[in-house]
Amino acid sequence: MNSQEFRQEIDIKRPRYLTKYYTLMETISNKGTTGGGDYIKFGPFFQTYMYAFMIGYHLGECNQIAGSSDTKDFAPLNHWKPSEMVDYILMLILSESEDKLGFSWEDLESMNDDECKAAVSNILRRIEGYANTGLNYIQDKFNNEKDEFRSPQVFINFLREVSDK
Amino acid sequence: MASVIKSIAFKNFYNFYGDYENNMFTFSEGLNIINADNGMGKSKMYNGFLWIIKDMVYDSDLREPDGVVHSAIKIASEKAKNTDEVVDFGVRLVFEDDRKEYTITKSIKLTKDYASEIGWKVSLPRTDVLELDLLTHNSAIVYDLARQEEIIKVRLLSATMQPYSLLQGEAIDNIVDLTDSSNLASTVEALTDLSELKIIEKTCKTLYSGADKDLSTKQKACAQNKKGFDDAQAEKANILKQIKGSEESIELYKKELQQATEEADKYKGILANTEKRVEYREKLIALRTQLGKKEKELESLLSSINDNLFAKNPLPWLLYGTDGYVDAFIEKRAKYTEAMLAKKVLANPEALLASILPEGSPDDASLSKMLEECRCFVCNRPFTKDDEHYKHVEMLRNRSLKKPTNDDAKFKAFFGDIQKTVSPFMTVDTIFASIASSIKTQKAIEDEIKTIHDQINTTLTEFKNYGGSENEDSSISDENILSAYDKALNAINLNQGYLTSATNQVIKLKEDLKACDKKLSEYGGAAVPQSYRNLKEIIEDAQLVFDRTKQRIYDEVIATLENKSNEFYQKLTAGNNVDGGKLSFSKTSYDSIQLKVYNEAGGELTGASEGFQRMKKIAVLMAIISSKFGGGKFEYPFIADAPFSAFGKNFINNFFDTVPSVFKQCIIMIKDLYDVNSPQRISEDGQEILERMKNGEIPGTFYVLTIPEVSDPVNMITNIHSYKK
Amino acid sequence: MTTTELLKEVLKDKIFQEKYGIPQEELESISFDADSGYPVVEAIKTIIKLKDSSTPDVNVYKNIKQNIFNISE
Repeated sequence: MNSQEFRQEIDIKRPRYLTKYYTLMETISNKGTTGGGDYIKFGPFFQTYMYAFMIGYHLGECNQIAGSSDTKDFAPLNHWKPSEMVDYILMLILSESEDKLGFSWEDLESMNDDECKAAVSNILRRIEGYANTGLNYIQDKFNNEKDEFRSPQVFINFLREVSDK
Repeated sequence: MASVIKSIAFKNFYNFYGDYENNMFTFSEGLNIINADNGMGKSKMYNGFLWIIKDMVYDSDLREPDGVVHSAIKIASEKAKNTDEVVDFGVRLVFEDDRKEYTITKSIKLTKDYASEIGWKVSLPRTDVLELDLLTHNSAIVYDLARQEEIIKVRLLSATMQPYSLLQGEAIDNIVDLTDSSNLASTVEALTDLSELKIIEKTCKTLYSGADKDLSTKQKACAQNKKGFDDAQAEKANILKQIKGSEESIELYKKELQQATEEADKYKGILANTEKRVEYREKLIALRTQLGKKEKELESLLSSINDNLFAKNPLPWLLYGTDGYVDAFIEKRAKYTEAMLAKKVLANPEALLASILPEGSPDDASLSKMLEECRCFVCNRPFTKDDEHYKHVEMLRNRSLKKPTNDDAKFKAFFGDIQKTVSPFMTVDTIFASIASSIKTQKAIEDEIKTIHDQINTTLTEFKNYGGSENEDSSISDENILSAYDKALNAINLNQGYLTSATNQVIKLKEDLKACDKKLSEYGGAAVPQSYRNLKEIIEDAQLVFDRTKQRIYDEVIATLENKSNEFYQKLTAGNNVDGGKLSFSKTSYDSIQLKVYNEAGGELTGASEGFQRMKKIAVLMAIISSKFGGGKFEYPFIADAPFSAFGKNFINNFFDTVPSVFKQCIIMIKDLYDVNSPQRISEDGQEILERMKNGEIPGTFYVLTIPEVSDPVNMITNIHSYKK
Repeated sequence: MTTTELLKEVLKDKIFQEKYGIPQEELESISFDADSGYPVVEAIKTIIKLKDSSTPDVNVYKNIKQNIFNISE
């Protein structure tokens, strides 16, 4: 597998999230109007996901989704906008150490196709894990500090909270 | 006889749960304030006074007064009803007059009755009155019902004074209706005892009639010329009939004139200040347009906040706090590149070496020339193109050009592409400034919006002060108003004319009557005893004297009324931007008192705001009371529930400053000094008044009512906090 | 106002001095306790007193007619 093929392998992937966060996703994403009203709408589902990823990444916890979990997914990565953010997320994951990532960059050179695909899966699991942490954080805020969602600054505030820690 | 309420207490009365001792308010002379927000018990407290004085309560559901028995279930405390099978509820009021102290308790008992529709059996109301002599300290229970009535309805608060003493909400509007001049006149009469003189006036008419009849009878008996006398008598009867007819017409014209004048005044008030109203209305429109724009601007800014999380220009806010991450990636990639190169070299060192030429070898340019000339510069031997020597030189030349690369690093492009994409995001430290700038802009717009709101409120107040109303039915065009105004003016002129004509007619008829009386006197002759003539003359003079006395007192009262009203009016309206004007009282040709307001230049001021209108009424009421012939202070308690709905802060402060000088005791239930955010629940203005009470400047008491937050309305009880006893 | 206050107020009228020639000092000393000697004053006193106790008008007239002017029925 070469760069292009490796990249294509990543692009077709659809990151998942736990079904229990579906209502939250719907509430704070532009898609759907469930539970709307004073809650500030975010954007498309994948933007919410990217946001959740950043929250989880700043918190430094990657809670990977267990294989048996009830999950949902949406558009593949190559449909996400802005695409620069997708690359940024990949950059963050690829910057991680070998023991977190499960492989080194150098190892990729000698991997066969199956092994490359496994590496891609690792990358994806890491993305999902951070997003999962982030969604849990937002859900917790939603349950216990609902008033925060009345402020137009809510998502900026959360981001600042976790990154200033 | 003055009365002062010393205390009122409640037992299981609405939200006042528990016995009398637990729900007691003590009062003094001066200003007694019960401060509470809506729903905290003010009006319920007022109902306590109503029950004692009138055996009624105000039903807020029906929005009208209701008998206490009929309202018994509503009155009894919910908590008490839920706790006990027998509930006693009631009100206890203690008051003093000059010599005695009276304790009046009115109560009703409810007994649980599961069989009845309402679930309770309601007892008849019970009244207990205890009288205590303040000198001897002897007390006695008053059993006699008539005596109990007298104590409540005369000593505590006389029935005639009730309309001026017991006020709820905007009832003050009804005490003194300044648009109805006859109402003002009758209010003056009620409070200044001119009614006695009016009774005497009527008596004098009867006396005169009697004296006239007696004289006439005597004259007839003594008359020589019976026919002449009878003719003169008939003429007199005719004249009297005409006088009566004319006087009746005069009353009618007076009434019409009054109505027409009030109509004209009403429309004049609407027309007046039109220019100012138009000006302020336009100002309001402009301000609201400006406000709309700013609100849109803010809305746009706020709704774009989340967009900034992903906006590429300048930098997406999502990358807040990611300083150095791109640098770390670049570094890792550089290490990866080095590692890959080292790996390649280790795997094929000859390729590397082969790419390096020995020292002293010809350089690339020389090798290229050698190939061109087909000659070796080292051994100076020619060779032909593409022979083995040519190929050797060619290889040497190409090998030096060929540098070791890691083209075989398959994922170089993968990492390189990512780096290329994320490199513009190295300067994420600027995101903080971007966020701060957005917040600053938001705050600036919000401040501007607040300023515009304040400007709108000020402009709206000015607009209302000039008689403007946002609910104005614009279908009542100025043209219609002008037409109605003209019609009223015409009616005034017409009736004025009729009145003058009828009055002149009466004057002439009275002259004729005098002439007729003289004729009758002549017919009667000297035989008629002088005492009859004297009787009639003296009664006539007495009638004149009483009439002139009434007019004189009336004029004095009006003059004093005007001075005192203006005194109180200036005090009550002090501190307001808009000039409330000066009050002027005048007697009208239709026996009423008309009140007009003039500005400094002497022009009539009409269309003042609701607050000013109410202040006018209070000023006049206070002036009437303090002008009372032989009196000066209102001798009964003034009890008012929320009289300030249309008043501003200035008015309220001025009211509290001024009113105690006229009313010996005021008990005011008010929400305008309540502040839910203050620990004591007292606003800044309230705190000021409380301080002045504590340092003795204002005599009185200060209470605050609260209801603790509970989810179950059954358990809602009013808590009483005393800040000044 | 009280009957005394009303009487005092009524006696301020100029008619008592101008038409009936009653001196000011005498007017000031007039009360309900003693006869003033002036029928006009006595008539006025009677009217005030009797109306204060709600006497019917016809009885007020009879009183004045008989007691002040000695006119019997």
